[in-house]
Amino acid sequence: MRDASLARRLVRHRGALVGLLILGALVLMAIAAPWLSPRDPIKTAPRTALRPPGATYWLGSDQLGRDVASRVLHGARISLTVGLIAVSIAVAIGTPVGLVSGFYGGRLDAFIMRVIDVLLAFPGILLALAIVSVLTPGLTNVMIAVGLSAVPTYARLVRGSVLSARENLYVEAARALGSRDPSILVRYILPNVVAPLVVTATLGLGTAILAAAALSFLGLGSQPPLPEWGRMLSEGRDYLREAWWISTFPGLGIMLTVLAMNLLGDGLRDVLDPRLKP
Amino acid sequence: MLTWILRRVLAVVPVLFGVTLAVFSMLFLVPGDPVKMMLAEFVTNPDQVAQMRAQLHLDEPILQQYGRFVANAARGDLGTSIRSRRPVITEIGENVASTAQLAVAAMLVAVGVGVPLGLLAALSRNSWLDVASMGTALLGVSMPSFWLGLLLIFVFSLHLTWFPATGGGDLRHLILPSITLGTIAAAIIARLTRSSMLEVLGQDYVRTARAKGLGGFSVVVRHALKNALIPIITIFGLQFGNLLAGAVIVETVFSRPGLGRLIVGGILSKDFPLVQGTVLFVATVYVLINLLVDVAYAYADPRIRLGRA
Amino acid sequence: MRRSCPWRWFASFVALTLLTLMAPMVPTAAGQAPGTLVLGLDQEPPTLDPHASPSAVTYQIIASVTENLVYKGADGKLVPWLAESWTTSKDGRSVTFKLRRDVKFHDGTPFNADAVKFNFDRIVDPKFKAGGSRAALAGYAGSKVLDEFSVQVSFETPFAPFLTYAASGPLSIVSPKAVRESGDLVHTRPIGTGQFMMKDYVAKDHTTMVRVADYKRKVPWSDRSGPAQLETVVWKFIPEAGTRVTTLESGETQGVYNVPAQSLPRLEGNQALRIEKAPWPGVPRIWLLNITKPPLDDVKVRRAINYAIDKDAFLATIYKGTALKAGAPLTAVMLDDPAVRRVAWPFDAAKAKALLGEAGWLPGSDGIRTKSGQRLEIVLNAIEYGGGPDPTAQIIQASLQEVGIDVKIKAQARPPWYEDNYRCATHGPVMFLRSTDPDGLFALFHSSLVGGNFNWSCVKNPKLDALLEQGRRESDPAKRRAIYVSIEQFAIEEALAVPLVDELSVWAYRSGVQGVKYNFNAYPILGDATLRK
Repeated sequence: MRDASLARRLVRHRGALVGLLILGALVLMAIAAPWLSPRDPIKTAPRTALRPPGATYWLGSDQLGRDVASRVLHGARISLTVGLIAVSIAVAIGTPVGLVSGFYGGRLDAFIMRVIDVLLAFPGILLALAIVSVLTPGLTNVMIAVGLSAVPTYARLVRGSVLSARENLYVEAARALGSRDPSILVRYILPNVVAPLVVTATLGLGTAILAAAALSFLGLGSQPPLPEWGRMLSEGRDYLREAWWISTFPGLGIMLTVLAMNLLGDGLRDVLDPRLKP
Repeated sequence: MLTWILRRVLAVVPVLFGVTLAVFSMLFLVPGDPVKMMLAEFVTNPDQVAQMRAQLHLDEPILQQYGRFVANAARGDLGTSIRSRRPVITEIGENVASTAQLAVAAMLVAVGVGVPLGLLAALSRNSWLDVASMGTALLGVSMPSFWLGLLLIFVFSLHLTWFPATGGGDLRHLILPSITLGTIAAAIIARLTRSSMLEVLGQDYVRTARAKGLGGFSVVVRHALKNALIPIITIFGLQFGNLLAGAVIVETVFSRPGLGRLIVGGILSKDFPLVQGTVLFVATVYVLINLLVDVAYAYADPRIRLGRA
Repeated sequence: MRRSCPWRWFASFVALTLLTLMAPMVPTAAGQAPGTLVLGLDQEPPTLDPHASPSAVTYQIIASVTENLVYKGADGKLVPWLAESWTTSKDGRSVTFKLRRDVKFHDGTPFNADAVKFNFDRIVDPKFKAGGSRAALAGYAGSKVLDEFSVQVSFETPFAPFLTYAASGPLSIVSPKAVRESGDLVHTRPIGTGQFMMKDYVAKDHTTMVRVADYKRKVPWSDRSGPAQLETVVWKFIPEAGTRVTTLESGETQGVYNVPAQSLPRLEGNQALRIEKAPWPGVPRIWLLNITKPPLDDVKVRRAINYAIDKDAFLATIYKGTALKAGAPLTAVMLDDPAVRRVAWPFDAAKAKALLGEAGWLPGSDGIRTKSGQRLEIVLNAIEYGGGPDPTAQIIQASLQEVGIDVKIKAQARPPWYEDNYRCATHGPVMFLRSTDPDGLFALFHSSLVGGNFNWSCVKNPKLDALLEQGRRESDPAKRRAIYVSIEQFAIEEALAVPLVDELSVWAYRSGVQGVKYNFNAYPILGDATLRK
């Protein structure tokens, strides 16, 4: 009952609707990439390199003659997957940590908060950079690095929700009635956590995609010939003057994906709990 | 007040220790032999490798190495860069000004563009102006900084040749990078300003001021604005950190000297002392800036300044 | 009622910080003094000390600052320079030079036999970290000062390439006094005897050289005597290709080196600009195949790879207008012989597939060949320039994909790249070498250099070793040529490597720049260069 009206409210929210539509289109592109692509994204065709967008190459061809349109389509797959896995790692690790920390409190909580403070002392992408510097460059390691570097944020978020939920009277009542910890966690605490978690994870998906693309742009992520958007942007850099399309379209792809996530995330926040607005 | 500051400062110490521990442990999580990397371009014999290892104290027990690391760091000795053979602190010293300039300039852009934009949106609530500015801000938040940088290079450097595309040193080289870095922060600040302003404008005391006929628009706005800006100052520390981190990418896009290039270049050449030292430096600066902002903010907030109310 | 306004604090804090930080930033003066030529280079040299540098960029800069005993021009002929004449001993093991008497270093000290001895002794000194210069004096046994202006340079065994190497940058002569006394300055201000002297060096930005006003001699590449025409030359380091080209188009620089292929058509169409190309001598852009690592230990696989790579693909894209097809381990300007051209591998994907089949690699389900359950995988060691992956590697990858070989590109920065090459850890790197003598092949294929610079095919072949050593000793030019022809034939037939393209050194200038000449190394020499606005 609640879910139905939730979905309806979400769809009625203008921003969320736009976000959903864009996201839907992107997911469709990603899934259907092999069938939608006019050409093999990896196949080089040196004699038709650097062609501007036109009839033969819809979004132009890059420095090795590869079809930019096909590469952008396949890149959607990669970026969405990377973002999803990174956020899943962050949620999978951050949630239990936050739950335990918030619910049990005491020395454990204090220690965990210290660790989180230390991890958050590395601003922005610095933590992911530090992690990637230890592992070898590669797309899998970028996913891990971005995911791990987001763990403190989710842990803190979950802990905060748990703390506020813990104070509720009905939790005390449940305890007084003899309910055991795990069932209290599941029945009273968890529902409080879900809403902010979903909002943050949706917005976090956008952040993760940006971070992964940034790491690939710096040369620390995907390896050739993978048509990953961040890589494509950096490859196109040398050809900016002569072939602007090589960098422009992947960048557009990244922006649209993150935009969709932001719209959706904002919409979810408005619908689920307007109090969450900063 | 003083006790509050003291407590706050003391709370920072374990965090800094934790940071040094995290950075120190990086070297040991690395696959491969860092010493061999160091001597890579010169053909060496096992004696030279062993000599270098002893020089770096890599034979000692880990705890001792950590102690040495922290003691050295406290004195300002962050090791020696493998590639340039110079002290890491020297490399940092040569590059910190450039990054600081970029971060400050970007902050100016962010505040100079973001606050007025947010204000405009809030005051013309729900009009097309509001939608347009917030729409732009949303785009700004979603845009990859390296993409924006390349676009700016394309238009302003390669075609219009108004500004140089790469390098650092003077004001001309600062414009495009700071616009790139600042735009995204501006978008965040714009959205925050708008919502904060809206919240303040809805407050009772504002309505009372209006009801009392306290002269027009500007008086109300000035009073409201002061309070609306408080959340922005609260996140100033966080934003500055984001700018520092974002500088890593922007410096690479514009081939601009700075700490970002040290870190990225260090990671690519597996120059661990350089990466460790620079990351430690940036994290420490970030922690200290947050501390400063907290203290300044606490001083400004009379509730804290005059003791717990 | 006074209330502290946090935002005012904040504003003043920012303003104060800004002022303090911006203070040292004064807009640089854009004006150029007349008679100043500004050139854009694609790299910063690791050092300007000719004996310590492993990098060609150093010699681009100091080709007009330091001088050598002999000079080798673009025509390949050896002529006197700092040495008036020389004689080789009967046993071929030593060369006696008669030196000019009218030469002074930029610091005023005299150039004489002691200086020459000092220079060569310095290079072989085990305490000195020599760059490419050490290999140029292989087997050096010492120099004897016969009198103030005569010096006899001796080797343990006859070293035929010596005179050619003596003409190149790594063996140029610097002031002994400066080396002894200037400490670290040798890296940024080498003191030579040439028409220009170094003036300043700003790390990561530029270095400047100025004309030596009292230079009186006639240089080997010029018809006139006397100092250089230009007063000042500024070398700017602009690694980003797009930016570098833009500075030329805007006039900020008057010449740039290393014009990327994609910008060439635009520059060639620009009437205000002129393109100059010169072939690089030495080893072409080449993929050295690590013959110790399976599956490359099978010569059939290596030959198949040679057949499979479409070199025209390089010439149509990243090397369009900036290189020629390579067929041998030495560039054509070094040694072009019909016997070598005959054995070179042409592009023939069908033959490649057939050979792979013969070697037991049969087509697999995903397009990659397999043999006893193993996929045909190769790891190519490439240099990651930070942001842009190496397109050469990607073209190789695509070519080999066509015949069923899966190439994994291992892109890393220089130091780990070198490390992998020394350890023969990958299937081989793509590299090149600048060298003025076919003896460059010694560094490439002699067994003593496995684990060093540059035998990264990890070849240990006694027959090849013998040929390489013989080529070093043989003084008769015709016999020498024959030896190197057989070395090349061997290297090609055994498919030790895949020669890709003979690179050209491409410079672009504004049309007002005239008189730039190039030595045999393809480095620009600027004594006669002039700048007309």
